[in-house]
Amino acid sequence: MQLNIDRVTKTYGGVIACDRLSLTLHEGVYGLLGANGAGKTTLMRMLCGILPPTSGMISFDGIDVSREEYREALGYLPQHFGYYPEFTAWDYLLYLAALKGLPKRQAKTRAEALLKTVSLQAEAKKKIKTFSGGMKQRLGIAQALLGNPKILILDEPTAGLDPKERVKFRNLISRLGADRIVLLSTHIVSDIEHIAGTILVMKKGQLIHQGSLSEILPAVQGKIWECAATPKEADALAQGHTVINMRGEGESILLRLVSDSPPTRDARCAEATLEDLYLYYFSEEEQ
Amino acid sequence: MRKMKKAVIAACTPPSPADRERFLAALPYPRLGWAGFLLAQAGYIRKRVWLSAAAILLAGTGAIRLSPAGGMAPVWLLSTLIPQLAMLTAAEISRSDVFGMAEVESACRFNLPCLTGARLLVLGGGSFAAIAAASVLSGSFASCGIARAALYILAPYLAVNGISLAIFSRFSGQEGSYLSAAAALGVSLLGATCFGYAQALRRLYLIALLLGALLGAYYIPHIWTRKGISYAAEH
Repeated sequence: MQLNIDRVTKTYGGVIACDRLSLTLHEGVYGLLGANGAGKTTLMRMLCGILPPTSGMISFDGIDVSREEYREALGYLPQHFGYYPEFTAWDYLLYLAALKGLPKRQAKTRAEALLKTVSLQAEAKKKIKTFSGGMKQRLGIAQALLGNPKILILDEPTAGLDPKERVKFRNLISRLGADRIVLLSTHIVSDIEHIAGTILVMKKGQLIHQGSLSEILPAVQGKIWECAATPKEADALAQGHTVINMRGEGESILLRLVSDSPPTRDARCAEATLEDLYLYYFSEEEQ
Repeated sequence: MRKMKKAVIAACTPPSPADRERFLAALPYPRLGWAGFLLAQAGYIRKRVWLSAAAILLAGTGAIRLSPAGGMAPVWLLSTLIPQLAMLTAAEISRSDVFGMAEVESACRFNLPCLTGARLLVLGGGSFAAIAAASVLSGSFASCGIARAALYILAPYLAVNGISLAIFSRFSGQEGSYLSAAAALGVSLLGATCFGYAQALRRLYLIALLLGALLGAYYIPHIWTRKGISYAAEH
């Protein structure tokens, strides 16, 4: 099982959204990390055949992205998705099952199992317009799993879910990654940290890091500092550095910040996390 | 021998299934063909489209009963009502955009162009049957004959479809629906005015409608290939 992305570029007018991306994905969970506008959604849309690349090729086991056989192997959860107002959760799944080419009998069996997986079996006959954001998101995850796809592309799958549901879906995604390619994009760094075997970091349409957590963290090792400061000093430090965390402790303030060199004389170098890496690369863009 | 078999079965405990889920997932499942897909999609066309087609035909039949023999009233009535059916048809074709389903549908095996094609086929077939019935019904009653009645009924239908498809390719969401409804109402009112008061303008009206129909012919492939969707996704 191999999803091949070969020198894929996408431009909108003069703006480059994806810049000569080359990547080969095998079974496993891949976490896509990047600031808004980094090109994550454009890449996912190209992988789903919704947007044609300006140049380059995408194929799955030799099947081109534009072919029906490719889409047959695909499950996709977009960041924002709608529904027809008259649809219940059950109707929604059966409708999309027909579009995915599942015969009615099998569609019913699969829809029933998936509604159970996402804990919506009690709401199966309720109109989607009465659902909360989290319920709609769970339904979205269920539709992506219809047809047992070999490639699963999830754009912000855990957005809107409460912590308990998030952990549940994190585990589900992790299990699904055992025998298929799962690519997920999220701003919730801890989700990627917990389940992604490979982390892909995108910035300005380019892949700047690719590898497991232990492989990519050395890029920020030695750049994360912790120190104690007075409120006035803390304000001054926050002006010149990216502050990851600020916590008051008695008279002083404990700071965790990103800096290429020690920010104060008594600053202590801390163990880097994925969130630190994210902030190191994207704090300026987010601002 | 049978006893021995039973004894062996009773003595042995079968092992619990290993990797059952993976085995079941790997089994090839029957796939839905094109005919099955088309049939499934016909079931998802909203009832209001078929109901409005039936209501228009019923109104035409009522007008025939009330009009004097050879009168043109049934043809005019059908010609001014048919834009509403056209508006519903166009809205049905473009509903993926309006309700934000286009992206999910585009990533399915039968993707958005397939879905739009299926909708065009089902709705086009249904509308054609309704228009043919209306033309035969009113044309054989009125003095103008079936061919002219068909022209008077078909022209506003095609024009509103054309204008609506052009609108839906430029405006997404509810905005497109409102503009399409306004276009249908405009064509209906224009038709009623021309047929009721400004009879000299009838030819001009028909020419305008046929131009609208040509616009529709231009926009059908545009809607089909989903240039509008790509544009929306890109921005």
